[in-house]
Amino acid sequence: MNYFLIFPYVELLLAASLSLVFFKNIRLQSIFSFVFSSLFVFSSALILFKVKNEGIQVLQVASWPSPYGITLVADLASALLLLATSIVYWAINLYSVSYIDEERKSKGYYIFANLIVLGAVGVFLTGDIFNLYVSFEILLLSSFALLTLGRSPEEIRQAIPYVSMNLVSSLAFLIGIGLIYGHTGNLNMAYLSSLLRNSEWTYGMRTASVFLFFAFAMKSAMFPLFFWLPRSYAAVPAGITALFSCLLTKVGVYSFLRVFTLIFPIVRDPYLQGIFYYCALLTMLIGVLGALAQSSLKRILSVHIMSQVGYMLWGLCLFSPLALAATIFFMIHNMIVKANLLLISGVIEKSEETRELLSLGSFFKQQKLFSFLFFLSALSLSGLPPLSGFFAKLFLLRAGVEFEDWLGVGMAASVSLMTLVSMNKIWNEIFLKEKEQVLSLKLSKAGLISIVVLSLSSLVFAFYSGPIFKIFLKAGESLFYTNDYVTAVLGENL
Amino acid sequence: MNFYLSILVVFFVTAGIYCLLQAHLLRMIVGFILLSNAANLILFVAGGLGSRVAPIVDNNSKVLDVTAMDPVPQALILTAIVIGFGMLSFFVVLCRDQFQKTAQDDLNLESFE
Repeated sequence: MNYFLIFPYVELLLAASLSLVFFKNIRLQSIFSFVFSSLFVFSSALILFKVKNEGIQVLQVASWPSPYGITLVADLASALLLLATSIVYWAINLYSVSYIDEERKSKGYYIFANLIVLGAVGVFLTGDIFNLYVSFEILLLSSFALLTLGRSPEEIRQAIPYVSMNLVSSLAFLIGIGLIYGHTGNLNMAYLSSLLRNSEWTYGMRTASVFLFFAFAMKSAMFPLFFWLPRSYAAVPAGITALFSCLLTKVGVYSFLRVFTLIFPIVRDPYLQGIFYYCALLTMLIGVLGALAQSSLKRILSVHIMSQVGYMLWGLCLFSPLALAATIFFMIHNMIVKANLLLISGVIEKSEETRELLSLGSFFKQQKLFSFLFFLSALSLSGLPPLSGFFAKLFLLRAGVEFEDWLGVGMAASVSLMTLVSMNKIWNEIFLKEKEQVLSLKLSKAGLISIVVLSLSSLVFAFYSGPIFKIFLKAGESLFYTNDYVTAVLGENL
Repeated sequence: MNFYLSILVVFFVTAGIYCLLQAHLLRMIVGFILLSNAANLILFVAGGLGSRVAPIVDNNSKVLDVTAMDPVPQALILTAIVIGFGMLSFFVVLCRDQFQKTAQDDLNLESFE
């Protein structure tokens, strides 16, 4: 039995519940969170190690045999995302010691931060689609709570569209699950995959796939359904935005990756794939154009998240082992770099008390190291060599060229150029522009460590991208050829 | 029976979406209640309806009787109801806060930014 698959759940649940027990003692809560998130990093590294050496790891909870019990599965894709999540969460935990205000902490910031990561872990490791739904709800409820912790009018105003759109998408998800259960009598993803592989999809299953498509599109902020994202992300402090950007949309993309490769392979429905393709390209374009139009630091970064989601969805849409591998690579690169940029923007915001670009300036002259860290992440996000974003985009473009999808390749390349323009805008306004006033950068040690750790992991990603990408290629293959997953979960006899 | 319940689901979804699109806080709450009940009803219909016996294995046999009800959808609905109720109560509190801060029920009238 692979009991270690349960470790991440236990650590995060313990951290959250201990924070609830010691609700008054914020210092103790931060220590718990830090300790358990460090353990979380180790256990996800252990899971990745096991999966890499021994293949897909399966835990049948309480030893109920597979299509009937609750199953936890870790394949390479989920293990890699788990490790990336744990590293980013560890850094955010360190960062929030000094950059999340005391008021939010006293209202239970640590509880909800642990629970939101718990929801993401549940999504990554679950083997059946109803648990996917339940984990999504854990994630969403804690994100609602984190969004409204400050209870300012601004936050509450932005929370209403966010909450209502997400409730609608959850209900669509539930309806899809109901339809699937009605037609197959099971919700285990591997079982569904083996059941649907050789048979035509009935109308009921087709409808279910469209409902799931709608639900995931809303959660991953795909083109026509992204309105909830920019305003709500910009309303909260940067630490929480970084948590959101690394979890919420990525978890939506991961569900796309899982469900639309395993149960409903997207290539089997050319009509849905067509919609998916054009929506993905438009997500890319509109995200970056929206970012160009913004004038506040955090708004630019939050709107950018959408444009990056477009790349990932495009990769999924191409649907080959290389494209899927590149998608996961892009997701992890983006989680790390985006979180880093948001943390840096949080430091700037905290020391200057403003988010508007025009009132900031002269950072480069006075803060060389800090500016360099921002510079690194910004160039990496826009995909300049030799940084991680370059390799992420290179692999995606290579997959696109393989399919001779010139529209997609052209769009991805030009959007990447526009990303550079908007990063340039931030750089010019905040770092290069001359400003009289002397600034006092409130950069605490913990904050600096978290930013440096994230920058370093992005650099490691860039310099070892060759060997690392070999692992990703295997992950892409295991997503593409679902046989291994199905036999690992169900055993040989099915 | 399935047919009538499906018609009911259609009605619930239509009314729910209509209420949501009004952008009045109170109507949005009613819309959510209708929508979440529609989703629960679909799960309910998915299990199959009809006069069946409770899914309990009696002492003499080792497997369930074929006339027994499928127990899984009931567990699913129970979970979905709990989650839906939690979400709804959060949303109600959020609406109350919004109403207290702006004294305005209509989201369209209130100025953005």
